[in-house]
Amino acid sequence: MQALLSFDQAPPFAAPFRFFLTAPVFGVLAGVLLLASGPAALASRWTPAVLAVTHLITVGFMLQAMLGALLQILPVVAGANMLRPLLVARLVHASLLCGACLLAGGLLVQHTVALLAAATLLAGGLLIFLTAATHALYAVPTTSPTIRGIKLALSGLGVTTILGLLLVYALTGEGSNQLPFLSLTAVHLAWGLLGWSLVLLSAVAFVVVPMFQLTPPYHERFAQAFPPTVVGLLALWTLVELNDWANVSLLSAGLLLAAAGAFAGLTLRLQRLSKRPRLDATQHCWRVAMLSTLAAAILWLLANSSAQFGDDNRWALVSGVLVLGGGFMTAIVGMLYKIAPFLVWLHLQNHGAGRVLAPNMNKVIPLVHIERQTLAHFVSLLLLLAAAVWPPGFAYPAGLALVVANAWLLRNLVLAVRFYRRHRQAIDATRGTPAAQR
Amino acid sequence: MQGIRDVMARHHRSCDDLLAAAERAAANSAWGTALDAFARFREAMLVHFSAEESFLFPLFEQRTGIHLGPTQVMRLEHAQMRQLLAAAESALAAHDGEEYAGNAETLLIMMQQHNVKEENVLYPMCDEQLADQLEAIVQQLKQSIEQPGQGAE
Repeated sequence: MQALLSFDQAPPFAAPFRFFLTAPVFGVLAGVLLLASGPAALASRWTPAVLAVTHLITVGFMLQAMLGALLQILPVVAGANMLRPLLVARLVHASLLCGACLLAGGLLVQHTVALLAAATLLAGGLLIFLTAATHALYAVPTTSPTIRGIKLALSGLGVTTILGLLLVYALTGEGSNQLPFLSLTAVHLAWGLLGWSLVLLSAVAFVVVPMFQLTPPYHERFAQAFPPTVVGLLALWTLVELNDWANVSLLSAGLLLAAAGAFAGLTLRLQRLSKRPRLDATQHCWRVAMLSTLAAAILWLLANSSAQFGDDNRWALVSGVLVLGGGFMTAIVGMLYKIAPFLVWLHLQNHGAGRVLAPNMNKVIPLVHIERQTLAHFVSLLLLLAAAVWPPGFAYPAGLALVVANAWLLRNLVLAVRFYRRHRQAIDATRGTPAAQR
Repeated sequence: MQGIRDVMARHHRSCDDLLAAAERAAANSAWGTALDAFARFREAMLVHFSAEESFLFPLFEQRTGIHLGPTQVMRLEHAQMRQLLAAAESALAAHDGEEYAGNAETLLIMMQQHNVKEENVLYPMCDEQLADQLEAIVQQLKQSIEQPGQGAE
């Protein structure tokens, strides 16, 4: 019953928006780093620059946006409210912001103190978030696949964090001889991308795709089974990978990738059945995200089934770009273009208390800006793929495109915040409250 | 046996279909068809709100003793959706496709986040709290939303 009472306590405007505004800044930083490092940096997935760019995207862009969105959707999908959401948001945001910068810097120049500081800040921030979210979800019954998915995704985030801490321990010399570094990296990456990110994306998709894109629902059994299957297979594969059982490892990894591919394929099929007359930017983003995920899963399966193909390290970079840039970043960009304008509308509507009707959400960020930015994002994705295949020809254009697309995303989100402030003041003015003079 | 959640969630989906029909007509600038389709959608929404506000919510409130909790929030959101329904309908009447699309999009998101709260949290609580009279309640709800005018309003 406690959970039910908290419907109306949606977090304040500033809580999710600080995360949303920070995410594209890290996208810009990733582009700048690509420009500064040049084609040589893309020689393999293990260069310091690639490791730094990867974490600017995953911990900087993705994690900021995903935690900001979770803060907002937990009360909606689960009736679960965090205590003092603004305080949680401030602490988590500040730790992640500093932690992500130090992590990228530490990986780039291999600086032990920076890495240790990053690990402390990131683990601290995530501990606060996970504690607050667990407390909010504690008494919430699992009445839908989405609630189950979110609970499992949060445990996936916890495992990813612990594995990340172990890697820093290994990297900073302390545990370099005792820990299986390559296996740990593979396991950390798999928990981050599948156990946390994909499970969360699927949990959100089970609600967002049918309800907002007006498609038929996901098959009930698929939605019930997908998150626990992914986490179960991941746990199995982790055990196998850390024990170096090569043959079983390939089989369980193949099953995991097949599950991810099935989710992407099924989502694409549902989206084809959408009853909405026109595809908007968000729907385009969802489709590109699912196509990229499907392509990455197929590429990985191909690479591991052919020794000749598998030896070429290009495929690892290409699938990295497909998963991070094509899959998760694209889905996040698409979702931000619904979440941000809707939140602006909702907070203005509540501020007007029903006496002043807020301007509709399509007026918050002009649609033409949204469409052009999405196009810029798709161009950056294509150039990044080209750069992964042929760095000398495309590394600089790809870096530049990443900067442009993310600076544009930031500008669009700033437009939304300015729109909110302007209309809030206008509402205050009509009421004649002192806030109008602010 | 069917529960409150099953019946009400199914009606949510049929409201979605009615909104999609209006959206398709408006996208083709078929204003007459769009107005008719939107009127059917609005009617279905208002019947749904009414079945909740005058029948289901009071039962939940009496049983749990909570009057200023989730049902109150749902009533406030109904009021916001009534405003959006009116705004979208006047845009359609003025043949303003852009204004209609903006209001319909806002309404769609408002409506769906409201539906998620009801389907994931409130209806399961109703099913649990009102389990002893579920059959009669489900029957009554079906009558109200499927044959408006004959149910308990």
